[in-house]
Amino acid sequence: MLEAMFESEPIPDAGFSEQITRRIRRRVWVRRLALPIATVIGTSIAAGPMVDLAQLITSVANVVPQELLGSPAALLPHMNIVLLAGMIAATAYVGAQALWD
Amino acid sequence: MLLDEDHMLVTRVVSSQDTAAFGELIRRHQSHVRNFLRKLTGDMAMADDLAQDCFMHAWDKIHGYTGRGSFIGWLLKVAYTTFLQSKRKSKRYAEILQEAGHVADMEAKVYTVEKDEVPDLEKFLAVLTEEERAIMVMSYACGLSHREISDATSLPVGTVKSVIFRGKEKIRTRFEIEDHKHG
Repeated sequence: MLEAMFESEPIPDAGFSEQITRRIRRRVWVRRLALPIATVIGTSIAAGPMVDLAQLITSVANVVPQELLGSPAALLPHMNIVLLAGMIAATAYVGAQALWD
Repeated sequence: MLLDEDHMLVTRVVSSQDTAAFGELIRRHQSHVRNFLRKLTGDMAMADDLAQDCFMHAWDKIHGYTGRGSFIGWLLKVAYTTFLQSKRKSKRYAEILQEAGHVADMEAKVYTVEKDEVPDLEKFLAVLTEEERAIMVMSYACGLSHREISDATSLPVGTVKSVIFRGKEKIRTRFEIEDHKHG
């Protein structure tokens, strides 16, 4: 008797599922775009300070005796480029991993 | 067979974020979810809003569906959680209004119905507590097993059985009394 009492007419979809699917697709796109955009903005903001930091490290490395550094002297003038490339590579790696997830 | 198809669709959603497969899952189960929430809230518009939220949450959490039990059972668990969360939010909102000195007319909606103006089922549901209502609807309207209801409500199976028994007794007692009153 209770089963019969609780029975109800099926509710027609009438665009309900389409509405939710649209919302989900929008959300998926926003999520997909959010990280690359944030990475580009973050990199452009961080590029200046990163170059400054690389230059500072280079100047410090020039002051430190070369015997202590144990690296070829020829490499030191390009240290800032090497560091910058390393930082960009690390950022790209982290970004790519987050995108993959 | 239907369960297998559900599992296949879920696999497609989890493995490749297939929105079309998820759309198909919604089409299959929206009626049950909306009916469940309509019976729980007694308000069609609110129930449909909650059903939308429920499916959005389901999309976010679908990787947590292990395939143990039916998909509709899992979906009703999400629906019930969504309902409880919304109720907590509206209660908190009412408290904030009250603290701010407003008249607390935003109290969480109490399931009350005018006798003689509503179908029998709504009269029945009105005498049950929220938990009893949810469990009775899952059992009788959605056809979930005691085990599935236990998973959905995070209550032990024994408690589910006793809630159903208590709900039935309540309806029987209440309406027998009412019959005598009116008789």
